[in-house]
Amino acid sequence: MFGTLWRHHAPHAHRHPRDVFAANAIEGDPIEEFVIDVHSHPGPDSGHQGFNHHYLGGGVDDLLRVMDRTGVDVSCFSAHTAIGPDFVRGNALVAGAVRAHPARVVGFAVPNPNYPELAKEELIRRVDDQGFRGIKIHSTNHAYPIHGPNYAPVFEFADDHRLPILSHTFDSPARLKELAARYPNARFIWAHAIGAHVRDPDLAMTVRDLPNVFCEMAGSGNRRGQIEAFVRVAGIESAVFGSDYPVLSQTWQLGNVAHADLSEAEKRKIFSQNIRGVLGL
Amino acid sequence: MLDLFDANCALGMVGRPSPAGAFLSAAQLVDHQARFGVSRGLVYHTLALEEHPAVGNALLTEAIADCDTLQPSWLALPHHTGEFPAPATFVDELRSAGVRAVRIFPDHQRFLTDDWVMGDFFAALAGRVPLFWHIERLNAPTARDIHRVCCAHPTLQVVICDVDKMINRTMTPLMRQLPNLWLETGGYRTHRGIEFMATAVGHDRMVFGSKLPWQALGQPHAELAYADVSGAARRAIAADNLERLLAMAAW
Repeated sequence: MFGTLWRHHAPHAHRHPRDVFAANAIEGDPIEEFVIDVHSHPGPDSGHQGFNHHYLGGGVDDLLRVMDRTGVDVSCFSAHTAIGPDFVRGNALVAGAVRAHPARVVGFAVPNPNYPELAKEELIRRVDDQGFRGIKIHSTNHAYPIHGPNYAPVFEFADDHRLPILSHTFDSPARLKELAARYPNARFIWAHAIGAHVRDPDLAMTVRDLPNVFCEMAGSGNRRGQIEAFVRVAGIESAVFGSDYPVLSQTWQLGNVAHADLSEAEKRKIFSQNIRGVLGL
Repeated sequence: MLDLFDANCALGMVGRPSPAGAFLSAAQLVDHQARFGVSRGLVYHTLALEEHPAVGNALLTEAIADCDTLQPSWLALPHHTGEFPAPATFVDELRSAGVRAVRIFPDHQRFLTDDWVMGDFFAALAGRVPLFWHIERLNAPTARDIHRVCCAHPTLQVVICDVDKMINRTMTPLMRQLPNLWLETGGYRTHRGIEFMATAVGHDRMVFGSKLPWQALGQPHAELAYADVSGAARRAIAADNLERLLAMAAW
């Protein structure tokens, strides 16, 4: 085990192979291969999106235009409003996007555990009636612990429906392992986790033994070589592409993966193959 | 492929390298940059940041002596403690060494940018050498410092480096009100940020940077490569603006 950790942290030369992903990205061309972004937060098209900072656009149509430019085929939408103050209003916005763009948008319903009855109704309505194919939880913004009792029905729902749960938490690998074991039919996508891996190598070593857990790389503290370091320990099947745009930038993370020191086949897995079946695509 | 001039890169050993490591020689850095179309770099030495500018600046001169594509930039400190030359002397040293860019890391190296600390230094650089000001966060004190310094020294060209996301509400009025303020885009990971700033302020005061060796070059490269701006604006940000800025140096 110690040897694995040492190799994992040892600096290595960056070879930068030029494959289809890198070749497209270096020119700013849309990626020609199938790409899924598992992490996106649209706002309304009114031009007033960022609740704590400004960015240009951010509405559904704007995010689709960015996808056209980058070549991202499908994005998993959970509304910015939903992970903030009003999850019902936010889920309704995403329902509209799913109806209007069924081939480009996968809806992820957001339950706020501080409103447990409403949260349950929302999951049933959005998933059973409106075709959402995932759940997004934000225990940080909603200030509710992931192991709190009001999240249990959410995990049970995901387990019953075999749904992916995109989770913005920085809980311990032990907590993730416990959830993955308790809800084996759910698929946990640990957001921002590949950046966290640099600080906590236990995460990758935990994830590699959990077939129903994936990690994505959206975040600010992305350090050079961290995706490569993560997959060397966790295995390529554990990584999926997620950008958190427009809160962050889709192109930023796209470049991170496209130019990573990985093979074309490995990038293909991160960009789509690892998660495509989970999303029913 | 876009031709890039990297305004923010470093070579040398670092105490806490990223998983991909550091660039221990100029050749390693240049080789890595070349794969992304970076044909020139305005470089500093990591030991100037992590040990002392006096050490790192000297090492840089040695490290890039045989390298045509890397241009030197030196780090500076206040002179009051006797650990760094007085401003006029430092400017003479810059001129002698042909160094056309100076960097400061006031947050990391623990000094203030108030006039009673750095006023003479800024005055000595003004109109002669551009200043690359590395920040940890564009918070209220830092933004007010930038505003005050740029107003007090209108001929000092100031490039803010290492910005993060979520800066538009502060950076936009700063850039609009301060014609001597520039933005290095290496950490600017805001959704459509380059496009926004090009529209709101103009593309002529943004310069591309990578923040190597700590950050993956593919990230800021993609921000610029995919930005919805004209080809001329993209080329300007990629290299031309930095060329123009460095050409303002007095030597």
